[in-house]
Amino acid sequence: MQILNNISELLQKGKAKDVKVLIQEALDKGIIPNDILNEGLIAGMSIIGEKFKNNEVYVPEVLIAARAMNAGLEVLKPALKKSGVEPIGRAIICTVKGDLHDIGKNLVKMMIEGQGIECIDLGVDASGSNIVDAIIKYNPQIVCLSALLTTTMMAQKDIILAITKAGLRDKVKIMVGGAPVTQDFAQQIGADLYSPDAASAATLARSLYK
Amino acid sequence: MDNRTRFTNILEGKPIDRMPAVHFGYWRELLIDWANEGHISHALARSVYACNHFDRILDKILGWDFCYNVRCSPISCIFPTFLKKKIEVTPEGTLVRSYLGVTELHKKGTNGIPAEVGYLLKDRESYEKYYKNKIKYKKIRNVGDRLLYTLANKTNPLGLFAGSSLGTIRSMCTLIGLSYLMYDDPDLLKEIVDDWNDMQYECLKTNLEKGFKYDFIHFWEDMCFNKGPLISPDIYYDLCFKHYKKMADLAHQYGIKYISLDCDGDFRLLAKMWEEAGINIMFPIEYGTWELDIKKVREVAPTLYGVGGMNKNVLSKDKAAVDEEIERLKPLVKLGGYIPCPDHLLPQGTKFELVKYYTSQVKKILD
Repeated sequence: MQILNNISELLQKGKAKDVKVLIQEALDKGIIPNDILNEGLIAGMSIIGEKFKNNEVYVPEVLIAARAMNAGLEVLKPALKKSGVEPIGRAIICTVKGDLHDIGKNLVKMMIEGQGIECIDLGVDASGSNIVDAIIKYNPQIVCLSALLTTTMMAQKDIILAITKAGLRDKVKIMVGGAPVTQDFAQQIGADLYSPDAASAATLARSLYK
Repeated sequence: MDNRTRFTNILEGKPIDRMPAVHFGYWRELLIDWANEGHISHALARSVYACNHFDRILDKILGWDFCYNVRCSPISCIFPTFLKKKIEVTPEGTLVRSYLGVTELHKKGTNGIPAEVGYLLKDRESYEKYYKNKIKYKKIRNVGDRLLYTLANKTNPLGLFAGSSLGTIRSMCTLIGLSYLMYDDPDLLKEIVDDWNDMQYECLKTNLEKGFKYDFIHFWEDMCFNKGPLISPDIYYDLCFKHYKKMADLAHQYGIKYISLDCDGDFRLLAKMWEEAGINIMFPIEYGTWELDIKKVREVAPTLYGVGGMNKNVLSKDKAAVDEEIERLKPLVKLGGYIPCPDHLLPQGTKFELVKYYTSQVKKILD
């Protein structure tokens, strides 16, 4: 549908105001809110994610696209709620204990939300007990752990141990990432998933719900 | 042979007696750990800053020849800076306004750079209110005591800090703010970049006119991460290329052949631009998980020299890991125009004795 393509394209260009206007127009035309979400907003964020992964766009373009997505959701959310559309799943995300760097974590969060997954952001410097409490409270399917430093990446292991010790390990898939983290390291510490970049993190997260 | 001669001879392809052991510096937490372990005094741990007197004391203890951060630094930043002050203590940590006007979250027991949670530079009004007057050249910006100290030790290569074309602007408005400015008001961003670089040009010019013999000028940018540039190379080129070129040309007029640039991350998509602008030394060439080295850098920018590229993580392992790293570096050193140096500040976990071992081994890398 042309209007949904237009929403997707405007989102990719970061045109927040135009996205809002077109979403309202689509709603007024009686287009199903879930279609607007999937074929407009999520489709646009998916394209931006792929382009980001391939170095065709960079952090600013992701940020303005995410800003446009959020602007669009402001208009769309009441209609989604009214029609009973729920997020396809829920994830918890944080930067791990000892680490205050959050740019990477925020990019992953935007990309995951761009896939229609609710993302509970525990912020930075999150400990094992913070995450265990959040798993109990929010019942997510995925836990995403970010670390920027070689000195803090071991906290990912500590958190996985804390989740295991709390008897919650089978309830969640754990994804790790961050500049010093590798696939080998992810396997060593017992993570389920490793993502080398924000777009891949979103694709991986989405794949868990298919 | 002194370190200054070693440095220039390596870049010029002339013989040297041995490879110098060069470092970048240390995270403060590591120095405190070393003091707690009894390797150095707490007074020394608190006092070491790149290339100051205490850094040179630690150089002697560890066997380093010099810190590459050795350079004279005019005040090529906002002036006066904001007064750094505590804003509020929250359950998440302490909110502090930085000298650049950014609100940062600080927290005990964390490492690295604090989280940026707010910023002032958002639009034309805030630029003119808070920053425009602070980005003007004033005589007070010129190199002072630090230069005098550095000049007192002419056996080490002498660099003059040239500032950053975009890195500090990104620090002032955070990456999010820079991104929004780029699309919400590109003309304003261009104006800020031009104002900023005009100020830095004046700083460089005034300090070069003093007639001291510098070996290189040095930019700091940090505009890349593990996946490549933070922003589009095309936008970066449009904003900054002319400024790099103008400053490099100026340095050349004063007989300075070497233009150095500090950028973490995988910078290969920007390397050609920098090379064309006249930059010819890349530092610190982070090995990281993307395994960058001088050979890979020269595949995209063949004339670049390099300082860095030594995987600092081996210094938290054992002697065998250090030996293996030295072996990896040997063929890179043989390419010429390359000086190994740990690929960033040494982090917590770095073993004191392994650093001493590394410095002893890297000096013999050409044997």
